[in-house]
Amino acid sequence: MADTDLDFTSGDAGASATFPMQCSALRKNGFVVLKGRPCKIVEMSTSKTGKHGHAKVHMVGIDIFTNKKYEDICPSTHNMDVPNIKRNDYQLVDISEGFLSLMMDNGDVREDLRVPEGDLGKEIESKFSAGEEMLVTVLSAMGEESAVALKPMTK
Amino acid sequence: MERGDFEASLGRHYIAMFEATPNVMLKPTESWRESLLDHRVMDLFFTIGDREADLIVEARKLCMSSEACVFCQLPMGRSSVPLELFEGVYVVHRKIREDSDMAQDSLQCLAQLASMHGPIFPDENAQVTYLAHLVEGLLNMINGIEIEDSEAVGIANIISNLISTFPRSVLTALPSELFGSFVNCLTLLTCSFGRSAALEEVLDKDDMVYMEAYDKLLESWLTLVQEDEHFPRGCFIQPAVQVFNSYIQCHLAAPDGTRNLTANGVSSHEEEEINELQEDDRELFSDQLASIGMLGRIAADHCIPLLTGLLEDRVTRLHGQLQRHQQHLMSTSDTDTGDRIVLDELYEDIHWIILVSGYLLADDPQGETPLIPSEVMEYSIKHSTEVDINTTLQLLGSPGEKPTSIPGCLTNVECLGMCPAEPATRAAALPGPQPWRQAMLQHYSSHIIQLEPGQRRLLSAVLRTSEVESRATRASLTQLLSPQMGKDIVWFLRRWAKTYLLVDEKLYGQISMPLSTAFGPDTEGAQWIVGYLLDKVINNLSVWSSEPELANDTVELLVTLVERRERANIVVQCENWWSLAKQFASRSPPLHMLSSAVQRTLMKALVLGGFAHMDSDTKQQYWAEVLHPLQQRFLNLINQENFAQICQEEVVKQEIVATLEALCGIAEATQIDNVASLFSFLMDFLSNCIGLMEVYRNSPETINLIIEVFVEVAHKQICYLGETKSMKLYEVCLMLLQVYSKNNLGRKRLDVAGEEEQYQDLLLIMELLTNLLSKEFIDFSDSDEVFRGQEQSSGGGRAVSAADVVLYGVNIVLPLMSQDLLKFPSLCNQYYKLITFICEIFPEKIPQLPEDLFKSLMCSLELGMTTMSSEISQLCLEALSPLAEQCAKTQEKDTPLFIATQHFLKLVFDMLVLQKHNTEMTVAAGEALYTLVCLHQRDAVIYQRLAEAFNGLTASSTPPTLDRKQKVAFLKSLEEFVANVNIYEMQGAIVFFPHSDSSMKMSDSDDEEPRLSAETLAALQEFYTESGRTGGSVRGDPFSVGAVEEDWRMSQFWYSEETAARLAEEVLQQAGEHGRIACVSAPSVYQKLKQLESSRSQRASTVLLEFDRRFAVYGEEFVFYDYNNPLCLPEGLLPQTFDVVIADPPYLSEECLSKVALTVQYLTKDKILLCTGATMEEHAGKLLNLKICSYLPKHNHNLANEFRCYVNYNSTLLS
Repeated sequence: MADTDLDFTSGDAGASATFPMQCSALRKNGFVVLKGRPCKIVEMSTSKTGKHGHAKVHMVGIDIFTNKKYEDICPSTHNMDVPNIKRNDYQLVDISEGFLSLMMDNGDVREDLRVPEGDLGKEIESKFSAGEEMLVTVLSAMGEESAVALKPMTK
Repeated sequence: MERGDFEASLGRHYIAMFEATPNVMLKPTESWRESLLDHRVMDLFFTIGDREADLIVEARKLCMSSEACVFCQLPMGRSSVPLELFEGVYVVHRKIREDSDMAQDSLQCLAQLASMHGPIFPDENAQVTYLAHLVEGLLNMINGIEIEDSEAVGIANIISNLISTFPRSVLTALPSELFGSFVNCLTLLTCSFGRSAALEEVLDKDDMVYMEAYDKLLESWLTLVQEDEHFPRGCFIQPAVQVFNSYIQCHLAAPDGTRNLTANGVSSHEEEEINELQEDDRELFSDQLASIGMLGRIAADHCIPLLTGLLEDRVTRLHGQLQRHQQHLMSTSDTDTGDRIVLDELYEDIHWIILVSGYLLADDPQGETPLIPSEVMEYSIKHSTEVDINTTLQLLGSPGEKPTSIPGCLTNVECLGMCPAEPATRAAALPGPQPWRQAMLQHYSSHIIQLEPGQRRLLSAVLRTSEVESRATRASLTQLLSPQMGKDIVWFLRRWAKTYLLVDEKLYGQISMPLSTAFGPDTEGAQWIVGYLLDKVINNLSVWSSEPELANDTVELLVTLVERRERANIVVQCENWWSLAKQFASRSPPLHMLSSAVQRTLMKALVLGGFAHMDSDTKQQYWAEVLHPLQQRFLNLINQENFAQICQEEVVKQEIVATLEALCGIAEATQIDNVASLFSFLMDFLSNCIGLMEVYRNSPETINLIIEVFVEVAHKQICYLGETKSMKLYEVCLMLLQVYSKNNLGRKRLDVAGEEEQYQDLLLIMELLTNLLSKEFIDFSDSDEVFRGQEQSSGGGRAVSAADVVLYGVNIVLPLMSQDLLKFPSLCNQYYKLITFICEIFPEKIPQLPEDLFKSLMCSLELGMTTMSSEISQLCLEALSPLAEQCAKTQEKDTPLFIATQHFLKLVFDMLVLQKHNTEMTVAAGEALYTLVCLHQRDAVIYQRLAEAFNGLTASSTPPTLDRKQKVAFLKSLEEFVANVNIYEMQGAIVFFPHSDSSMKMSDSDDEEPRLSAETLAALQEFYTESGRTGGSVRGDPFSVGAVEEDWRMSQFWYSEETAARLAEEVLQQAGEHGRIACVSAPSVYQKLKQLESSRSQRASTVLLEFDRRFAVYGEEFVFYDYNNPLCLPEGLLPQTFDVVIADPPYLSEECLSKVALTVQYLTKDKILLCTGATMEEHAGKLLNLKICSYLPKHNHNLANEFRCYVNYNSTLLS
């Protein structure tokens, strides 16, 4: 899945996978790297130890690819990594051997993405076999990519 | 005195009220004057034998009931007031105080007596005598006992009631010796409760009784000293010193204080986790601190120097401690600084000293410009002679002097030698090397410290604390500092600046010279301090960006500096104000790390600053650097060709969010004199924002933020806008609503378990609508003034009006609201606020609403009135009057609104007369009732009922009219009516109901048949049983089917007349002469049976088993029955004693039927007649061996389910 070559095609060459941000500046519904995974922050609270202690931030995040839950607590002065997240819509042209064939804006076709597991994957397959035209939204962050949503073509 | 009489005379109503609010004030009527003197009453208290407990109960009741109906008939010898009564209660209390429950009662009783006021006192003398007696008794009691924990609150209540009830003149009329010892006693009590409260905190007790008592006493002090001109001058100084000292002592660490010391002298030091929801001490203890601050002012001569000394000492120690840490850090690479305990103790000391100082020096600066407290001003004037003003000025102007007394000026002192003699003001702004600037600062603060006696010295002590903090941050010791202390410092500075900085001499009769020369307008001192504060703010924002609360307090200080024009004028002259503005506009570090709330407020401050006095070039330049970058960046971004593609990117989103936050900040900065330019600026954004609604429709947090911008703009600006401008705003709001409604069309809001914040958008939309409506209430717009030359001709007619926008919005919101959503308090409040507003402002629009919307509006009004908190019911009641007036205006009957108001009339009446309700609501309910009555007076029956009911209260016999004088009179008598009349004694009002019922029958009117409400019936029943008047010449026909209304919520559907008659005939026949019949959940058959019974000789005894307690009117023949407990029946119902049982299970389910079957089998000898759905045939056969009949029972209202009868005997119904 994570293939550095892809950076060229997505036009991201040189863009870093993450950038630092002070913990206190993060906000709910934003993104952050927790335990090495790109997460969406679903819960954030601050606390301190003792009346004269310094603020600590407690975060709960959901892995944007796996939906697993991660938690972290750190001093609010710490810098956290924030993932650079890209969202692209591609037209679905084919499905073969569990891989999606997606057409990019420039007309090239990439065939390196698996059909996602679970309901979404089933939905894609059934709609595709029913002959519906659709766009697949692909999320990419920290060198990882995955189809996360689909929507009908608007034409 | 027979106890029985006594009890009977007390309204249960009052007991209930008393139990709900134990601290009711006692305002007995005149009649009590005599009754309380009855020697027999005294006997009650003095015949203390083994019945003390009873006595207390009696005494308590005595205090509760203000209607002395029994007493007033007693022959009385009048003297003054019931003095012996106290002695009685005091004695009783001392006797029974070991039993804490009873002690509570007796203390409560005393507290009530201490709140006695009103007509019972014929004149002031009587009051003085009474009070003297009360106080004497109290002192005797307190001095005679060691106060138990459980007594603290009770005693505090007595004192607090006493002080708040009796007028100052009565207090001062007390013999001076008695008053002296009372104050003395109060002082000692306060100090001792304060210490115990501190102990409670250390021990972390759940039940903070002393804290509560301490709060109460401090509050009483506040009441006392706030009007101290009535008292002998200076009489409170010593007590104030004592209370103040004890407070300080409790909050300082050993050895000066006793903080964290438990009784046996052990100190505890535990670090607990504190979450963000915990309130800051300054809010948590604001009442205490305000009282202590007030006492501190009373004794300013003692307290101000005390605080100053303490603070200076702590700061010196803190500085030393920090230096030791620094050296330690430099000598070892070990980052573990070890002993934080010493530091924390110092921080905690400083924390409390600063809090007390802040509360002492200035009042809560909310709203109006706070004035310098007169005590502090006097203090300053008194000490001004000790200051040589010339020296002050001289020293301020010559910074070359060597500052001496700064502890730890250290490394920087030597730099002073190189200082040129610059004016003080430039010190802060000069871009000199850090140490130099710092030395200047220290230098000035030191002079202030040296030269200012009095309260400014206290300021300088805080400034020094602030300096120590700032220097520590520069020395990279931030880790060691306390953010809490940082907060305290900026909080103090803000509070101080609001009151003292650039004092407006016009506001004061006399002003202290040193004060006005140091911080008055056009003084170097003021310029210096502004520069200093600005520096502090900038430093804090970079160092403390990670502490949201501290950063927030810091920007609030900044807002304070610029929100008043005079201060802002000085601020904008500072170089670093401009750099701050540039920095923020370019979103460069460290400001971008601040939390969104802080950034918003920062934006507000920057905008406010822009309206300070500057020459036009400078002003242009300023705006070019503050607002224009924002606009440019925003426009560049959204006009990018590929915006549609990149809009979901995190960076872009962040930029958009930052812009929206800034817009909110700009809107918040609106003031009357800048609204013209800000409005135009914001309007450009608003239309763009609507486009963004589309783009970000899947990102709720962005949508919320966009709506919030609109909410803020409407909130802050609409009241200043002229017609054309408002129109523009209405238009964009309408567009916003349209987009919102499009995006929410068919949106499912079924997720009942959802969190409140998921509905933030809905809440915001309602807030927006409410804000738009507020224009109708508050309108400062004067288009000539505010928009001079900008206002175009308002031709073109009113394109859009507030009403259109709001009603459009309501059309969107109402369908999205559901009963479940009303469970969220914030949504619920906002919703009712909105609909009440609409009813009040646009009553004429209500009838025009689409039918389903109208219905849901009325339903929610009823719901709000009957089931929500008293605040909400009050809102709903307020909405009723304008609706009724609207109806009266149109003169149309039979409109849905007219019918709805009829329904509300009944509801309000029931609420006022028959239900327990909150007394606060009487006025609102009375107003609503009055207008409703006016509206429906032509409706003869209802009018007749009400007229009879209120004969007693409306003295005049003229029909009520909508005129104010009558309304007021009505409200007054209603208040008395509701407060004084016990419903059980209100025979007239209750008896008329059956009367009017029967009269109704005969008149055969087309109107809906009047029915008794559940409550009325229940009250009736109770009334009849109580007065022993069972059996009914007075009754109309309570046995007609439908005398009790169907309530489908209880799954009630009455049979038609014929069916009821047929079934009744059937069971009568089956039961035979003198047979016994049980009707299980079949009240209409029961009713029919009773009717038949009276018309013929055939007698049968019938019992009704029913869930609906309204049927309790039928007296002993009613048996409460819940099918969920099928065999939970009264003992009187023996098994197999009924000849025939007729049952109609409430629900068509096997579960319900099987349970009812148990009851039926238990009751019946044999015969069973079951009525239920046709679908239940199989179960009926299986469970009870019943056969289905061909007879088809009918209901008053057609039921969707086919209905059948089932029997287990040979019946004519079968064929």
